[in-house]
Amino acid sequence: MSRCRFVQPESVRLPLSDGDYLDVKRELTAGEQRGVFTDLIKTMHAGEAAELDPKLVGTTKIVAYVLAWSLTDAAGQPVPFSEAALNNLTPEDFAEIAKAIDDHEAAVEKARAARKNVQAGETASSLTSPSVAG
Amino acid sequence: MDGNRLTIKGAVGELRWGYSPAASLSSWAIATDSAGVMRLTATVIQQDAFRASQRPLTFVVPRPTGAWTWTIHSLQIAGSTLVASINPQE
Repeated sequence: MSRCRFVQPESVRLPLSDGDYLDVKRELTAGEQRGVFTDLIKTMHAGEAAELDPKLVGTTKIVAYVLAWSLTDAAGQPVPFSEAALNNLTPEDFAEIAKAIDDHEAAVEKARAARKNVQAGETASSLTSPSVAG
Repeated sequence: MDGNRLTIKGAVGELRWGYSPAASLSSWAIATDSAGVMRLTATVIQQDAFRASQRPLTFVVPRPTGAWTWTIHSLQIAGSTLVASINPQE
């Protein structure tokens, strides 16, 4: 049976400090991955380096990954996840969320690379003819 | 209401595959037929054909403090018309 090449919409809960958490996509689709970069672009002309919007650096990846969070406002009311809410966090809390996403992405990438190595090994061994004793 | 049958209607809803939006829906209605099966009808505003072909799918109606969610059992989309049999999500 061939492997499924499509991203399955599975979510993962990432713990934050003080008992808070993020619910994030386990991995991004190709389209979402492209969006993380293209949403950063302010201007782009053929043959020239793209000009990125510095205000959005770090934000587009978080917005692509996060599905929900447990954060509440000063009155203890849940605050739905949004780019606007993200931009109203303290810099330290924004950095904590950005790091949690980066660590999650790195862990998924590492697992994917390990899986590829196993598959490559299996393919190589299946292509090798058994030796014939003479 | 039709006799003892309850119909729920709404303006905005979404078909989802896991967390992924599969279709944006409007003018939706849920009614129970004589066999007790809950049927969803809706107008499809926009859809991702791949996601809409995947299973399991849910029908989600956003609410001020969360969402109402039903599990899709069978689904037909013809043009902009969606018809599905559904169950409340457990």
